[in-house]
Amino acid sequence: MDTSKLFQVLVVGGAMLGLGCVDSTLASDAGEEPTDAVVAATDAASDVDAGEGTDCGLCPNELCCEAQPDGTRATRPGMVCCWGTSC
Amino acid sequence: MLLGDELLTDEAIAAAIWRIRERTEHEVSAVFARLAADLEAAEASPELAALARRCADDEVRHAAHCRRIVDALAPGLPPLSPDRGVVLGPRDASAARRALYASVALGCVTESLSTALLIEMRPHATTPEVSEGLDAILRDEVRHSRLGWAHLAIEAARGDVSWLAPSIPAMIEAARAAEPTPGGGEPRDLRCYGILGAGDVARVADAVVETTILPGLARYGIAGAGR
Repeated sequence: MDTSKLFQVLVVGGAMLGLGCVDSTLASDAGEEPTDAVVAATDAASDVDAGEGTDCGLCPNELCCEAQPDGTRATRPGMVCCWGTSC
Repeated sequence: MLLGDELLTDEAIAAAIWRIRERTEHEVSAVFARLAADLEAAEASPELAALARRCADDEVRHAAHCRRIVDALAPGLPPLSPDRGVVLGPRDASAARRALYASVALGCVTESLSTALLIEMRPHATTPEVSEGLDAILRDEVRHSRLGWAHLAIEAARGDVSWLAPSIPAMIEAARAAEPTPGGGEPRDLRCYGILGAGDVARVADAVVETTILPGLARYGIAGAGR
């Protein structure tokens, strides 16, 4: 098993989701770059059938999701929700 | 944890191990429920508290998966009685500190290791009930692990969390010891039942500790946490 992806999936993915729960000051202080983490998480989690409609319990959050012109929300560019949820 | 008897069939040993897992799932459910209560008491994050509640429910479902596997392998084998009184963390600590301790022990350490072990088990599992159960549990374990890393990230952004460092080796040791493996005389290959040998468990545990758990903790200043 290649465990190298687990750091991204669990540690970085968890940090991003957690910091999405608190104010933006904490998020920026922690220096998280919301780019690679969830993409990497998707890469590893793609090996798992995430099923339908499950969510991580921490969505939506501003690090992962953004508002669309039509008022709906979607994942930010370059990010894919590893649980296949909608924002 | 070693388990085995050379007089038993592979199915019987596998059933016994899944029965232990069933009990563990119930016990972990209770720990997650306690974590949720502590998170609520500490007013740390309502989202995390809600997630911990969900994790507690997940674990009950996991136990049901384990039971289906036990029933398939050894019909009539009754459940073991879980100890729902397990409390993680210093008993005299504040709710906030106890919650963080539990999040790290359970999420960052135990569930990270569990995720790695399940990923290792999945390709080898051929028994239908086992494959289904492993898939269902793995989906949730990633989320459970992330709860720990999410909580740690929040608290590390708020203040020093290095007080956890002395406890990390014991957390890792407990997590490694919690995985039941077949023991006894002749080595048995029970991977088709979702059970790894002791050597495989040790190999996977070493890898995830070195590549994920320790680097993840070091990221938040919890350094020098050796095995």
